[in-house]
Amino acid sequence: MKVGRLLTTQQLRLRENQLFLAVTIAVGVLCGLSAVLFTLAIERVTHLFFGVSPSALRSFLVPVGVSLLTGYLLVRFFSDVRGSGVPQTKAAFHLHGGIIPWRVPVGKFLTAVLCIGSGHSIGREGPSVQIGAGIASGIGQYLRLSPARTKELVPVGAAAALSAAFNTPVAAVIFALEEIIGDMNASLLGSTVIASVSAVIVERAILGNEPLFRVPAFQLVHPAELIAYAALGIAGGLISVLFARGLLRLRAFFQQMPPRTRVFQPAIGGVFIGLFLIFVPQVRGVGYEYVDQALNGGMILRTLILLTVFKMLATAISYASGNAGGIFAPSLFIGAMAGGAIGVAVHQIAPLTTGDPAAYALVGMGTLFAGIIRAPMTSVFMIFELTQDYQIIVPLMVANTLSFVISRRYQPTPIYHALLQQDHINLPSTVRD
Amino acid sequence: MSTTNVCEQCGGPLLNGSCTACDSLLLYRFIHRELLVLALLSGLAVLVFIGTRAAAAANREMRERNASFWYAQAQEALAAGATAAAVTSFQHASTADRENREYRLGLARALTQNQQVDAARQVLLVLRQSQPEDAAVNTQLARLEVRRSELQSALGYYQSAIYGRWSPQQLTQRRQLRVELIRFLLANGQRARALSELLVLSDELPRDARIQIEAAHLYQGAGDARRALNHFLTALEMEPTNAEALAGAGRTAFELGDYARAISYFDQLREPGIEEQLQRNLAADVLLLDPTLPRLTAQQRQARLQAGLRYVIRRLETCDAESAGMGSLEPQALAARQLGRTITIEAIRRSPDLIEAAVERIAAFVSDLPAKCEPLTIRDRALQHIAARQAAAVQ
Repeated sequence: MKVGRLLTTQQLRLRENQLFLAVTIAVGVLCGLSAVLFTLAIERVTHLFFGVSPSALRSFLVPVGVSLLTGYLLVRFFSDVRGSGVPQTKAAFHLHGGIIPWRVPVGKFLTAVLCIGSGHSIGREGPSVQIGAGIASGIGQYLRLSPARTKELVPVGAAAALSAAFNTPVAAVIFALEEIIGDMNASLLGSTVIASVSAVIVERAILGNEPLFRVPAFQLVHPAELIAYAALGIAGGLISVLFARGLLRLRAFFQQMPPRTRVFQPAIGGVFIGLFLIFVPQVRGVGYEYVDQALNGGMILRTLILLTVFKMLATAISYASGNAGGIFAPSLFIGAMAGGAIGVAVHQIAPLTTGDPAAYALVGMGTLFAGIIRAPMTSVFMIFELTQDYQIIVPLMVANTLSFVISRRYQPTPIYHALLQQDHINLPSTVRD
Repeated sequence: MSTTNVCEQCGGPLLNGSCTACDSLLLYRFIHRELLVLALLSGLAVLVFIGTRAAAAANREMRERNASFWYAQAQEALAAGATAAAVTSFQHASTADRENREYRLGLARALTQNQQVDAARQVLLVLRQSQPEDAAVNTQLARLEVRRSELQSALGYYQSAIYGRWSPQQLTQRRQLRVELIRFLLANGQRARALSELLVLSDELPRDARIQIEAAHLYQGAGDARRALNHFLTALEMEPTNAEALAGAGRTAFELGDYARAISYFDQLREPGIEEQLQRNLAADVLLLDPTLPRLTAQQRQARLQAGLRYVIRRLETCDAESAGMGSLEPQALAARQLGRTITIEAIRRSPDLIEAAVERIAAFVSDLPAKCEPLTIRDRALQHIAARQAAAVQ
């Protein structure tokens, strides 16, 4: 055969690897763009729905009205895009050979923009991950890559999307390995790193090199302060368990409702969210602006406690009622508020030996993430990338480890796995926590 | 059944059941198709990138509009004294437009007014991280540190602010900040540092009587009467009838022991206040009674000492007569008379130290006057002033 004489099979395999690398970069860029576009769309739709300073009536009606539409879309057209998107991506990777239909990223983009934009207390990172993974899988399928290559593109797309959505490329890679693949020694490290870096370059080229949060300089005032961080870890673990159990129970409750009510379930959640928005507008949507305030010491103790409680309730309701959105951002929100509250309290008790409450808010974010999402390495790298301060590592690891251990003790099944189990999907035992 | 070792498609040999030539062809076609699709993907990525950039720019404009709305709301709330509402509005503004430092500075101001000093400090510290030389941020931090009684760090922020980045239009503000720093230093007993800042300030001062007077007062506070007088005089060059400058010049001249000059400045005042009148009369008495003034003959010194003693004796006797305990001040009056007998022109010529001793004794007689006597007169104070000045000169 002529071709066989021109290029040997080995040479062609080498070229295939090189081309896969090029595909990885293209996937990274496209997934990064999708995540940025998704963020911008949420912002625009939120403004469209609520304006600058919404009235109480508008705050109530928007989530109810829009949820009726999204409820219909989610039942009629996009039944597989409810919730976060991370569990579905894990299932696609481990159970379906990385095959994700084009309908999924398109539907997720549309419904999640509407759900988050209409004020539901859910995050954008989970949907970004599913959209990214869906785009990557779609490209793999369109290129007719081998099943193994197509499967490999799923975590690559997820890492790229998360990298662009959260502006933390290293944490995104760790998340893909730790949470999607479930193996920190995965051979896909190189591809995920390339995609993550490509995505973050694109994101910064469009949105600028500004970090997601303005983070104050971290300082461990006294070694004894580690005790306070340990207390934060314990509190974080308990809050994580409370949140995860509450969300799962509420979701089970909604699932037990008659099937014909499924189309109205997001709107039922919308009624509660509408009421919350009248009295506690801070729980609206992703809520990173309030995380930023907590990180910069702009909140008093009462507000911090109030927001911890109401964000937990609002997120549990929004998620359990079947809206499209994740728990990544709410975990960080709850963590920042709870951490800030503990920080204010310990600072009042021992002002000379404890740092600023903002430092506790920062560590609290990682602590709740480790407890709820159960990705301790991701949480450490994420906060480290946000602060770029080595000093935070020890307090962060102390708090995260305690939170992780407590959460695992009282909620043995990680939340993403438990959510899949509620949908009668069981991942292979090797992937479990 | 027989197994064939020849590929059905190309007729080539099969290796482990697969045809190497066909595999290569498939891979070859795949790669070339993939290259084409990659090119298309790249084109798509460029288009999406351009679209996303446009969307990002539109969102940025939207955020800036929102931020400007919240900033206006915050300013209104602040003007109405609703600091809590102002804080919330500033927070919205600074979240909507994170690149605008003015919004965050406004937030810090509102937080400070709302007694959330720690939160205000946090906002400013984050701002300072990105631009450590920002004068406005350092100024606010310095003022916050003053409120928190963190003197050293307040001083550091003041220095950073003064030596930070100022536009040419902001030089007046920088000078005012240096004045604020000097007042802060003086209030905290750091005279030497205040003086060194004052010296820098003197070089920056415009020819404006009000500003020169302000500098003179600062020098007075720092204990440098000579430089204070110089600034009062500069102010008088510009506004010869400026009452504050005349009074200040009179006081500083008096402080420097230039009583004649002090009197001349006080006399130029059109409507002197009680304080100025008292000080003017005090200067006149000192000028009349001080035996230590330069260019006096021995006779004149002796005459001044005798006049002082006569006054003291009369004062002691009057006081003794007025008070209930008759004769209780007689020993002091006797001692004064004895002292008077020793003060002769020859004695002064023989021993100039006699003047100092006599001045001290006269002041001591005045100080010994009981409280129930008539309050200290201008002349009493003049005699005490002469003794105090002489003691300071000896030291």
